[in-house]
Amino acid sequence: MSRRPPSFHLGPIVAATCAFLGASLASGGALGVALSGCGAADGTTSGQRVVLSGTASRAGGTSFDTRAGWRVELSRAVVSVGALAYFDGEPLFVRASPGRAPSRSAAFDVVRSAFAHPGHYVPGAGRGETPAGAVVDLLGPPVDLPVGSGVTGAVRSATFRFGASLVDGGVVALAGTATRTGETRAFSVVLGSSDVADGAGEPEVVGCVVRAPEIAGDAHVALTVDPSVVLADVDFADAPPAGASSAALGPSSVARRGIVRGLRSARAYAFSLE
Amino acid sequence: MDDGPALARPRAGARWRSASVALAASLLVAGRAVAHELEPPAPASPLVAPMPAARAGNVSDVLVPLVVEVDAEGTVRAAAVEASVDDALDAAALALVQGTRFRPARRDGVGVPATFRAAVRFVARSHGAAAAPPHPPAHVHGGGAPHVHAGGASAAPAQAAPTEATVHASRAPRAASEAERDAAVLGALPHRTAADALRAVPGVFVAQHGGEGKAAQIFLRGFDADHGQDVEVRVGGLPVNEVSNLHGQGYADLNFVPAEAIRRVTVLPGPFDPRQGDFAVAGSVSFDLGLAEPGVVARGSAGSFGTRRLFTGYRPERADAGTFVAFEHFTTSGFGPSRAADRTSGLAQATFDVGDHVELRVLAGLYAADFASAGVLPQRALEAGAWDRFATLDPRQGGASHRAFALAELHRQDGRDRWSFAPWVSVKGMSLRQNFTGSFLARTARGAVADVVDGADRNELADERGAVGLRAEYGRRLAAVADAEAVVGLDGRFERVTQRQRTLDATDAARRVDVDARVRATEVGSYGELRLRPWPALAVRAGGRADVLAFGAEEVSTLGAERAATGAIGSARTSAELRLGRGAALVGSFGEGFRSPQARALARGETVRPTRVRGGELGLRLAEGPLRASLAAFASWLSEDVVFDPVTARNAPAPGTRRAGLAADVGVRLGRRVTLASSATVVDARFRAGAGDFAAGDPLPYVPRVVVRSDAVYRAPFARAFGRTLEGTLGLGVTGVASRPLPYGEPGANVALADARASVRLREIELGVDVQNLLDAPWIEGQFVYPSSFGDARAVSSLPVSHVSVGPPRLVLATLTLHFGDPAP
Repeated sequence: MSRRPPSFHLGPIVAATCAFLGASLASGGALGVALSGCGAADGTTSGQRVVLSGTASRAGGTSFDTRAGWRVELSRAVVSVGALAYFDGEPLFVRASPGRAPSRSAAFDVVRSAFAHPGHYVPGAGRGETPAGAVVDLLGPPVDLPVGSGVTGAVRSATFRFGASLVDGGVVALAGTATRTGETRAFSVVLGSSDVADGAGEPEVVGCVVRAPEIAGDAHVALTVDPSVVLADVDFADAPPAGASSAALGPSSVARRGIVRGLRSARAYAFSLE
Repeated sequence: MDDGPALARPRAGARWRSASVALAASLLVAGRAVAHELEPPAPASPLVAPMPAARAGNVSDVLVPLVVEVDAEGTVRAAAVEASVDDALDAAALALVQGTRFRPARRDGVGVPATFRAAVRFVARSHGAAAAPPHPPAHVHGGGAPHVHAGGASAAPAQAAPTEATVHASRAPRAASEAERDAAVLGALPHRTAADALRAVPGVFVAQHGGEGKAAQIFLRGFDADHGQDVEVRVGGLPVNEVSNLHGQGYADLNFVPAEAIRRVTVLPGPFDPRQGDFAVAGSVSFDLGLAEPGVVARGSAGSFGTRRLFTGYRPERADAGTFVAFEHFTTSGFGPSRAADRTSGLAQATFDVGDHVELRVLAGLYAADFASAGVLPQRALEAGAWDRFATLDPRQGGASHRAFALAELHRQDGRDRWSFAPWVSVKGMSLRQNFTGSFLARTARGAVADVVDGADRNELADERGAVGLRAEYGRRLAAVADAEAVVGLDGRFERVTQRQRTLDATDAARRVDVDARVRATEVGSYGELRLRPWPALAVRAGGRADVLAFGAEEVSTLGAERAATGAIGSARTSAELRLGRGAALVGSFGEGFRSPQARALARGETVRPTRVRGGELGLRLAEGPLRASLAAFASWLSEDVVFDPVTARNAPAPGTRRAGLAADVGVRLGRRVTLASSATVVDARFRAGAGDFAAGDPLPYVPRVVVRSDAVYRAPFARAFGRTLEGTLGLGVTGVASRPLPYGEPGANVALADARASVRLREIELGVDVQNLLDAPWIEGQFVYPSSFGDARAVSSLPVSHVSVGPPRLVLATLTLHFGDPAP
């Protein structure tokens, strides 16, 4: 059998193939770029990332009446504010929103449900976060919160977290006097993370109300803590009388437990977005 | 070939005869029946010649297989050697066939252009031409249908070599952008699975984010079809999509199809054909099965990351390409942790002429796979170097799947009537362990934080189902209207499904049962179409489809009452082709389609309202000589859409969407040596309305706007050794994906990949190298935006971030293929 010289001319073939591939890819790419806005992902699909600044301050006055009939005068109110988070889920004590139709996928949704029933809070999708790092003297001027981040969209609820321990070892410090029918009691309490932890063991309060619930762009978060709500149901009857050597509330004090309950109330913390 | 009444019947005039030819040829796309009406081309004189002097030593005859294109007058327009024997014989065979006058392919007595296979027989000098053995009967096929014995006039030239014809030129497309890729392209590039092969199809991008055993994620013309919800997939006529699959509606796992067994992939965009049923929202993909050449083929591959593959196949010598048996076993350790996979597949298909113009095709298969999955990584942490690129954050992900199926198709063509009857049965199962969110869900679920461990969100789902179905069709030429045909058909299925999903703890024990349900789905569709050719240059098809969907679901674990829901939907489908001359045609299409809802999402007594799609397309097609090209503008509107939801690890409802774009496809085939194919699709997909997290006018997330694909294949003999021709094959495929919008403006990763195959074949022995991701591009295959918690994260961020599944690095496989059986004895 005769051997034939190779008839395979690789060079022109490779060149032609490369030319074809290059031309087709280039033309396809150019077409795509031309028709899709230079290849950039325009639009937000859907929403965009935003910067969240913030301040924390006191709501209400330093002197107020409680539902238990006490007239409270605050002399110290300091809170260590931890990370804050904002969600699209309805806050506690809010009925299912009539404005949103139930999802057709509800039958196979495992966890996510954007609708809260009274007493049962489901945060839903996250909308924003403010990092920890602020200690707020509620008797002083507003304090800036660390700059956070978020995404645009509806915000219906928030989670308030207590932050790192204060100088005196707690995350909350309250002191003052309470007067009822001429009887004046003094109170002073420093509560740690474990004291204010919720049932899940987390030092946080979920399902707080958010006012003006929409993030449309970079926004300012105004957090207010209302001492009158914290102390609204506290009975100071077993607190030390005014003038005692120490106003500290003992671990088994009814007043102390009342203050802890108040601090765990979502109504004590209010958020607004501007 | 049926040369009875249809051929003998006189026609009103040449115009209508011509029209009928085009119309009938168009039916080739639809089914087998029309193939019976085609009379194959036949040489006016036998394709036989004495053995050239250079091969005087040959003691037996030699056949040189050719691909020949003959026009409607019987003139050879092009010819190429399909499998080179040697240069001298190749040249002699080409010279002979180019000098031969052919009787053209005919329909109803009228010539039509055709591309077909033929062979020139060189008779050994010791035998003489007169001693040439009788040739087998000629074959005709089209539209992917099995062959039909032609007989009759086509077999007349007693000395002619075997002739197998496939009519391409006169096939009327349903849409301008309808496209196909055949084995000439698919077989010359490295495709490990049928889903891989889809990348060669215009407008398609395929990603695999769940391990080599899970259904691939398919993007088609602005649709994120996920695992098949928007793309109707059929393999050898067998429906692959799964109704109400727990992981994803329309789940279509193509891993059971060995790449070598794919003869052709056809994509029909849009719901333009009445046969297109559930899930044909973006379009339909159809795989025709077969082996490229007769005989036994055994292929062993070994390469990167412990990858081993064995493929064996057999196609009887005298059978058509659609009769075969194939076996594949694949195993790999994977290119990173939790990426190992094993799968085994067996496929067999055969066609039988059972007489009385009836043919039977039987397809059956078995498949099993076991695979690990690496899951996703937070992109920013990956870019910051917190994790290795191929790391897994939950190594217990993966799954398994299995299936057994059979399809039998009876088909009869007799005169004006034709019918087909194709029942099928399928048993399938799949399980998946997956974790898209780490421990985010557990950490954010109230009251469970103290118990949360890493990977607490991992769940396991299982979906087991049995399905039976049927497609039956009847077509009749109308006596009252010349060149018209009416078609009616039935297309339905019943699926019985058991579904379970459990959230697992650290030991993979069930922590919570999320789903424990039984589902049944019945879909019955009837369709009809009228095909007319009012003028010779104009073909019109108008029809419609009515579907009744009935679903039932029962929540077993909660003892929930069984829910049943039904609904009906009607869809119009129409298309028209206007031939402009010189191979050009203007094609317009409009259609309505649907995607069924998840059965478990329905309430008792609820009316089933499937997602509706309306789509239209207008474009030009060109088929001239070796060139095939199309350019089409398309648009579609969906009543509602779905977007990936990591919480449920599946797609969740989203507002309606619209899409508009352009699709271009060009292919050049220069004989058998050079095949070039390139496509580009550009699409803009946006929400039509706002709801939930989505705003009207915003781009649909995750869907790439630009998909470009180019394939180039070169085959040529380049040397001789041991008395045989040494043939080389080079294949190069390039994929480009750009501009993927993501939620919250996250940057979408572009993709640029090149795959290549090089092989050298010395008739029985072939050595090759497959390289996927030739340039070792560090590409991102899947991308999702949502909140998660992986690793130590007591302070869980609830903000969405980008997560990615990393694509494979360069994979190299060395392949040894043995071919037994000599097509040219």
